[in-house]
Amino acid sequence: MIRRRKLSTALLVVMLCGIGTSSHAHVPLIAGELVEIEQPDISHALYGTIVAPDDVFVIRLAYDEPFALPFEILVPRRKGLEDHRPAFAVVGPGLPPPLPEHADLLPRSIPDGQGVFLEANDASERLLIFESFTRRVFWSSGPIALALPAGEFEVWIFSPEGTTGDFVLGFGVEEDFSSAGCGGLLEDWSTYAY
Amino acid sequence: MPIDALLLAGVLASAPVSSEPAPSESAPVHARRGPARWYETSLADPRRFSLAGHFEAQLIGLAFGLHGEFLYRPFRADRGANLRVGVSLAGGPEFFYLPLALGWRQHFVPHHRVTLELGAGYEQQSFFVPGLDPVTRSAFYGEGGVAIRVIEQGFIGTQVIMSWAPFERPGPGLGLRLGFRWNFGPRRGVKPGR
Repeated sequence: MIRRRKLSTALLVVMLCGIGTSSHAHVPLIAGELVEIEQPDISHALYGTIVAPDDVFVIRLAYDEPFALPFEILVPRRKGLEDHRPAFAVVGPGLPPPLPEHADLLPRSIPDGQGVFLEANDASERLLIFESFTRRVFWSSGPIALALPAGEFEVWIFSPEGTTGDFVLGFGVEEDFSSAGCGGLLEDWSTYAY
Repeated sequence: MPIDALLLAGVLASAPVSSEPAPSESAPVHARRGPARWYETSLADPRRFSLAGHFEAQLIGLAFGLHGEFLYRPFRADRGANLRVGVSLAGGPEFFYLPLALGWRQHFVPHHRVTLELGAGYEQQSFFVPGLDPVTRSAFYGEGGVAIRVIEQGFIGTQVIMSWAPFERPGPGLGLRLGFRWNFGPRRGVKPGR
């Protein structure tokens, strides 16, 4: 009987240890007026809320060598956000000048010698995704991979139609969760999840 | 050997060793021969089974629903080692959730009025999002709880469940349950509750 009890305990310990298996996901961040990304190749999710119609969130990325970086912008699928279509613009060297129809949408003028890629997020049908880490459902602009040369870039997140509400900008490739502090994750949990 | 010696030997051999009177046929089992030897009972003995139902809240992703589980004690019916099969159905603002679980549950001090519960196992988690194909993933779970005996065979209890899906669609889970467990079969012969 003692042997059986030991076997039961051992089984329990093995199963509990399985829960500790590590995994990878986007590193979550809270959007601010300006966010500097130290390791832009790592997969990030930038959570923010457009409160005023003219809000612009900026993230700054720097690359030592050319890099292909995927971007997508997400909006939580909620009835109140059906018309919320935040856009993002990647601004930096080696990108083309803005198209005339895009220039009017941009919240700021493009610095001399730089170009822009604009995701206006205006497709009639939006991609729907289930984010398994926070168990949330989002509308997505669809991931776009941009081939960027070495240099400094900014990503502007704004609302061309002046709508307000939550957004998540997903970008980066390499999955590395080591820089995400568990304490910060829990502290901002209500931002990421219900 | 003389005939009287043979007769004496025969009388001694047939006499009861103990001076206690023989138990009457109407005496309860445990009074006649001590605690029942439950491990000799049939594998289908009803005293090996429990059924439980709970209200469940999923705190990541937010969903509320019902949970049912079936427990089977493979070693001894009067001890706390259980195989567990569980299923839940929960709904929330963004999805419906259907986890199927197979695991181990240990009831510590199962004959006391207050019982501690600890378990772990495998869970197949399915999410049904309107507008998307079902999402299913493999996960490992751990659970801890406490149950209080309220009637001879019935407990009310609460449990915390944590899960981790490490593979294709990674993510955590956190849930709370509150409900009732019923142990089948008569409790006669089991140590009295304290």
